[in-house]
Amino acid sequence: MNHGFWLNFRHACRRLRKVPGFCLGVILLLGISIGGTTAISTASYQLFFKKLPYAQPEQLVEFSSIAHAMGGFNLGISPAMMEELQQTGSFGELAAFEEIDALQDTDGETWQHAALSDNLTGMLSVAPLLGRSFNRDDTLTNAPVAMLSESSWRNRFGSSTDILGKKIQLQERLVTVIGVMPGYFVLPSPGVELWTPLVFAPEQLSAENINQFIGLDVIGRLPPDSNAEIAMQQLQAFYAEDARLAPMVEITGLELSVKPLQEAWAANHQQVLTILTIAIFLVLLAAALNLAGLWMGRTLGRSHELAVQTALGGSRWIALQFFSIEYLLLGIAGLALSLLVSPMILGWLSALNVLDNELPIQVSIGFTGVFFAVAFLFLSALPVLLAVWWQSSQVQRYSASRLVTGGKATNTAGNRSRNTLIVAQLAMAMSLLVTVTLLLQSWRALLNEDLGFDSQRLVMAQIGGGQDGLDISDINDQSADTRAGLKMLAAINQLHSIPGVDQASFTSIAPFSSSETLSTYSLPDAPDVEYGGRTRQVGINFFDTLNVPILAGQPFGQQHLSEGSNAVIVDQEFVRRHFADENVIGRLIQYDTPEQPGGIYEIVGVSTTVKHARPDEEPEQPTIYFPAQLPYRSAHALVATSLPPASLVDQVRTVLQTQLGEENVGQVSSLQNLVRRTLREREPQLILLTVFGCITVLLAAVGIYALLGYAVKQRTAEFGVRLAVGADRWRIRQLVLNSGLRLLGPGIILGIIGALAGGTLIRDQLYSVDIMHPGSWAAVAGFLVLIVLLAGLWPSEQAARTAPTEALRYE
Amino acid sequence: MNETPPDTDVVRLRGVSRTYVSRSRQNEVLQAVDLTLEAGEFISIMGPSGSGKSTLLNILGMLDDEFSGEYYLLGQAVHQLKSRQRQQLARENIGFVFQHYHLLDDMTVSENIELILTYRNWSARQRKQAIGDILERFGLTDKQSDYPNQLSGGQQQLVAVARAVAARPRLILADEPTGALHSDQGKMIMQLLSELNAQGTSIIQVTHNPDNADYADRIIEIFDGQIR
Repeated sequence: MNHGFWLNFRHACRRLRKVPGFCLGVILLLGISIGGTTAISTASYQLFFKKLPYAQPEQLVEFSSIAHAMGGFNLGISPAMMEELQQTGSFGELAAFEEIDALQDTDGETWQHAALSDNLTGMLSVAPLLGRSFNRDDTLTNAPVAMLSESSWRNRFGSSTDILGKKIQLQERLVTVIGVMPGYFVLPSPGVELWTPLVFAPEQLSAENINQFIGLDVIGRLPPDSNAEIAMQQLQAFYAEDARLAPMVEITGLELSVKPLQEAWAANHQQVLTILTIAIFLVLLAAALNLAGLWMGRTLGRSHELAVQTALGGSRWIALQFFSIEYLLLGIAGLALSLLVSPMILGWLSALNVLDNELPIQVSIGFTGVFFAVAFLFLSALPVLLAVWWQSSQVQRYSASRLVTGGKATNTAGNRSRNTLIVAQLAMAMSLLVTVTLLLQSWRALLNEDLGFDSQRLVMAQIGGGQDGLDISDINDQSADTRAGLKMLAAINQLHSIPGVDQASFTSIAPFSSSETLSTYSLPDAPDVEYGGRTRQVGINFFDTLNVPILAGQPFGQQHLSEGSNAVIVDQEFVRRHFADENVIGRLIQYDTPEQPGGIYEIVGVSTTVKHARPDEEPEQPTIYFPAQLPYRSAHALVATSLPPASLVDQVRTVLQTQLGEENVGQVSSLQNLVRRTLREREPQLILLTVFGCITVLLAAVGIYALLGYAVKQRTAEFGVRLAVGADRWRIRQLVLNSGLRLLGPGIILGIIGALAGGTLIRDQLYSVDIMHPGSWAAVAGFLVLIVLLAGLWPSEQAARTAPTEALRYE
Repeated sequence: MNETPPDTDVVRLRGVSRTYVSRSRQNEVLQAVDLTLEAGEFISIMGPSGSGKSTLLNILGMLDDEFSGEYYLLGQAVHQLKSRQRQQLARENIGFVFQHYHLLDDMTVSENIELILTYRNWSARQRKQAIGDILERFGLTDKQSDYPNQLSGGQQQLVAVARAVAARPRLILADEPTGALHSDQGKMIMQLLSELNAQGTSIIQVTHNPDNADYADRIIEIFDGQIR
């Protein structure tokens, strides 16, 4: 141990005790910046780099099939296809699991449940903690067995070793616990508490139902001589060779993929976490530069003391040693705070959906996080200690000899270095803020995007489709579907009784309702060529209610509901695809329905193209609207209002529930809200980047304030002289503010480079906004000018208030 | 010119000059100064403001190394040493007493003394022993836990002298050691320096005060950078 360590240690503690505000500020700054960086870096590491806790994880893959024409819905792999794929032998072993659902036991307790295929745990080489996992017999006999997660075993059963054989009544099913799985096994997501075997009905496994998708998640362990790329080609060939699957690829815009399991699970997070990691590192760097500036100030403030120590024989390392101890003391406290803060930040990331709660990888701080936090503490110390070393060597070099002149040793060297730090912080603030502003502009553009209908005045309600069906005992005659339709139509008409409702209509699928139906149609001149399209059965006032413009022909009217009328309205996309924007009124299309195979329909109108899934979607499929007298089984009621739609949601729900019963009314929401929901995945990133940008701006502002404050103190005598010889106070204010504004130029120039890099990183998230969007750049530059002026306001005021007689005493 | 000085010389300057270069002109503040301080000798340097006293003291204390000429300290050619070696030589042999004491405000009396011993890598046991001895010798035992701002000016300078001699230097450089004290306190400090000199420590002091200068064996006057 260095001979002066403890003396310096005591001295550092004593000095820090005198500046509690400074200590608190530094600890908070370190705690929050290191905590944030630790949380995001740990999440990135665990998602992208840490190997999955299964044997030979590189051979594990996930199969997916995304139907782009159906709003990006993952169809998964059908049970029958899974069987067939397995039989080809090319894909090794396949296993499946279903999404989590909630079941209630007899005590009313809710269990997060999922079903797993019997070979899944074996395929992943996960051994149970207790008992056994599922086997083939369990599936074949549909055995009432269950496995518990380690957390539910510990929390619900106090880690009882008598758990095996225990029976749990889950709704109608009494299951027996046969095993407890280890904590790291969290498929399909960490909240799962209990698994039962995944059992398919025989018809689901029948080859003729190969195209019956139930959204099943399928993972596989490829043979040693295969990899994801080879498997992908094999899967595509499999689809292409099957007469039932091949057309689906075309119609649904199916994107098939086989990805390494870890990559597949982490893929959705990659871009957002990469951007957030860069952003939080900028915040950490800004914090470190700010601290460097603070410590340079402290070093300057202690110029005299350092000079004395140098004159008495201290080496040039004394300042470094002393300030290292000071930084270490505050750093340890900051580190402790960061370890408290980082799990909270991880929680916020989950709450904001940056980290998917349904991801089958557990993300926690753990030892990795502690390691990262310590590493970031040392990383943040580097600029501080470099600044101190440089500053103290300047001080020691120039000041020690001044002691002999009888005065105090002070030094002005280093202000330039502090200026450099501020410029760097301004540049980082500029980079982050431009990135945030561009994202914000995109977000606004998406919100204001023309959706093809007026989303601002609509309420949507999902009706029908309840488990027990509608109570239609009060309606006689007709078929059950017709009676149900009549009941729903009556309920929709009842909506007119709500004050503020202008119109009400219905459709089989409402825009932004997360539902989709695709059908095939053909044109009479080429009846063998099938096209895929969205089909909608709509009430005749649908277009009026949604304010969808009819560009040619006419909207539906009563005449189109009469028997024998085969009218349809198509959208612009339909016309563009098939008739090169010609007049299509009176043209025919062929469309099969169970009731009317080979039906011919006449186009009576052309509507604008309505967006269905996302404001930024490109039309994947044309849309064909059929007039409907009644809603059919499950439909969406649509209400147009001149009042704020959100204010009508509860009343619409109440009216419909009264008419149809609670279980026949699903989601009720304003269309505006549904549109916003599609943008929700953009929000967390936007929120976090805004927070990071604000922190960086705040840090830059604090740095500028400290710098100008110190400069004003140093120049008090100068200001006194200027005032004494006739300078007015406004000129003094200007002098101080100018020294802050001078830093802005280089800060903005460097910031432009950073912002261009940031803009490139988010290029594919920008919508209707160019990276070089002049308004965004000007707004950020203007904002930074404002911040610099605000930060300089108080120091400039202090300078302007200098009393010349008082100031000259400083000389 | 490279003759080796006699072993009895603590300081030997030969033709030492110091020039400050500003944008428009050169200012030679010391001009070919020759000076010898023998072991156990006490010298007072006097001269008006701007005569070069402080510059000379800085060079002697190795706080300024941008001089020309030859400087030997205890036989070692300071002008030929590298920066680190000079620091080492100064650390082992020179003690400083400043006009304004320059005690560190956040350290107690004993810590101010201990600080310079840590620079010389004394062990904790050696430091404890030396601090105890020096505090007792200077009558500061009951003040050891006090901070400088709890002491009078005279007491602070007493501590500064104690600090200067704690590491048993061969040479003490004193810059107006009584300049900030009233006469009684000044007298006490000068008597202390005399005692230290009598015990064998060589001393060079810079002073304006003729009474204090008289405590020295020899008075050197400096005008316009030249010794007369």
